[in-house]
Amino acid sequence: MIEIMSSAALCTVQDFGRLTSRQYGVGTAGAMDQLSLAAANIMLGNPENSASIEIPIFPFKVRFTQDCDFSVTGTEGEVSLDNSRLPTWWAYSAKAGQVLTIHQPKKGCRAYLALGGGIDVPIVLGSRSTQLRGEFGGLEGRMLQKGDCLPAIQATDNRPLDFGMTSPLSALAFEQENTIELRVVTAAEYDEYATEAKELFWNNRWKVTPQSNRYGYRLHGTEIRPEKPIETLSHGIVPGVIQIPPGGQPIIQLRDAQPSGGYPKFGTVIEADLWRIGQAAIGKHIVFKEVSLKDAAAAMQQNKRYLDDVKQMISLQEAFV
Amino acid sequence: MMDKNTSELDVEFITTLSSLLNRSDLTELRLENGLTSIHLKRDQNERMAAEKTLPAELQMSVFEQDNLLKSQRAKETIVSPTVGILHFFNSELGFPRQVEAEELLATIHVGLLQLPVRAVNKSVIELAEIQDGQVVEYGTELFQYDSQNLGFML
Amino acid sequence: MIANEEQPFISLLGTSGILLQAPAPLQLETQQKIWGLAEQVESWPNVLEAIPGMNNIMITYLELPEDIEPIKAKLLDAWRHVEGIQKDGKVIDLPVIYGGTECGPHMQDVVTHTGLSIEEIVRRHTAPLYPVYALGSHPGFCYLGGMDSTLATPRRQVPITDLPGGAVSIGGVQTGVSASQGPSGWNTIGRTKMQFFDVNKMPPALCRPGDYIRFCVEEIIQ
Repeated sequence: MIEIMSSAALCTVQDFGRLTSRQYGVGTAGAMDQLSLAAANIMLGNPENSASIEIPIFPFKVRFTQDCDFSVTGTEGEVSLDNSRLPTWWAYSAKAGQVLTIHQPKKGCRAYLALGGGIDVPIVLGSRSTQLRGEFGGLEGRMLQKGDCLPAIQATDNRPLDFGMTSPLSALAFEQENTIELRVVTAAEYDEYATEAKELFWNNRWKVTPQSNRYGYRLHGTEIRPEKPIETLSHGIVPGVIQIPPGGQPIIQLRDAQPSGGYPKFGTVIEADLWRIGQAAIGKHIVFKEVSLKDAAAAMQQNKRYLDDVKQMISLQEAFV
Repeated sequence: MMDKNTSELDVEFITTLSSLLNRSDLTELRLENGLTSIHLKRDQNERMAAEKTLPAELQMSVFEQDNLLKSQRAKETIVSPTVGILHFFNSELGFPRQVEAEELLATIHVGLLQLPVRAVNKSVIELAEIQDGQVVEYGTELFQYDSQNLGFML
Repeated sequence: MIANEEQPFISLLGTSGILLQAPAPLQLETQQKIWGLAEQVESWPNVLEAIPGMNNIMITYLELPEDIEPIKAKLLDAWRHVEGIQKDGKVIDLPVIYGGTECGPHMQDVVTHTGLSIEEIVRRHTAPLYPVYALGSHPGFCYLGGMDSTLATPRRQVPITDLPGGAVSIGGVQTGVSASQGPSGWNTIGRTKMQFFDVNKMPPALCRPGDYIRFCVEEIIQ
């Protein structure tokens, strides 16, 4: 059990999200960086899909009201447990009464705090993720607040933890000169843009604007216009879809986006790269690279290999401790 | 890992195994896989004794326990618990400096895994002849400390 | 079955979705084929969900296979042979307070754009039985077909950030009722009190594709 000690606006409880309720108008929600969420849980021996807290605002402070294993992943930086300092991407066992502070990151922008056993909020429509528009899931369907208490599911493993893991920000090439490359599969309206507009899109260095959040990332760069105005009927969309509204500035729809939309779609960021957007802070730059489904599958394999390596390290540890 | 092709039993894997063995209660370990086998056996003298004298909940590594046993001597050392790459933690604070008991001094990276190197007790700690990012062996001297002279050093 | 024999357009939504868009124009017969296709596709291997849109369908996967051509071919074949479903949906009557700054803040914009009186707008808006084509946008929201085209009013230049739940509005040639508070670019002409989504029920949405909505006048505020 933990109690939130700091202002927690924009912090929410998330797992992998709600994947089979879009037919009711329900968006997926779910963690912005699912690779970090999975790793945080693996480090504690939890199922990968266990709920944790997604934290985009720092410093974030919680008090453990009972002994509890925890891990902090997502960002690279530091945490304090009372007066002792630890890096993020670390698993440790806290004692009742200890206060954990997650400090401003050095790299990345969303931290995940996982608890041994996983955060225990009700499963609604197959997920514990917070659905803000529907006001359900997570803790009472809302963002966390100072004073909130969150229980953990009883953990089965009580061995004390004290180890770290190298983050995907370091293990999988993340950024170069403040620029993050995202791989894209083109979408329905791609061919309604002229060659020059397409080249602009691929060659632009897009800036992540302050209007970027869990709903979508609004990018700024040279405007992209279709040959003629595009009319589309409302249809289903997935997280990662890059829409280009009439203003010509792309929006990447993300986990809290509506499950349907009507703006022209230029392409979709591949699922394997969505975690990179989750760690792309406001002010960073994004470049897009066109890939095939084959390349996308290879990228997903690379993510899986990373998690497999994490698991292998943990299971070796467990076998001997 | 066990079902991997034997040719893939690489150095990293063996060093990880050896590190884990040293942190465990086991005294030896034999892995056989087709034509290849590994036999790891550990040195059993004072390390085993150390484990008996300390309550389990202290959760100190075997190597820190080594150091505690040696605490009668003037200059004590903290050695690497495993083969890996050394990264200082809080390196901006520099050395020598006063540290608290259990304070995290460095991490040793073995593949993706990072193992802690912690201070044994409240002491003034000095750096041995090593650098950040250096590959260290099992037992490489990482830090020296002098818990007796704490007051004097301050 | 439908007049237009053009092929539907199949495209990718990244690595987790396929979109099939039926040829224009938007019509109920096409939507009935979409419903029929959704029922079939849901049982195909690895499909997470088949989600009808407006004369289109999105099919979601955890991870699409590298070679998408067999799925495309299977979809086209299924589309060619699928029978439209004549759903025997329920009719939901919604009493609406039309107009007024509180309930219908953009009624005047619709009056200005269409050149019709408030009474005439209300008469034409309450006349049809609106089929629910699909759900989307937010939990419980229905995309309706069948609005009188003379009521069509362009979406607002600046979206409203906190349209309340129960707002009856017009966006282009479509009309709908918001199911919960949130942003919208549509013109709000009235207010109803129905609860469209209850997470404790299964299914959680009040309306299903194939149901009908009938707006009736509770009050007209000038």
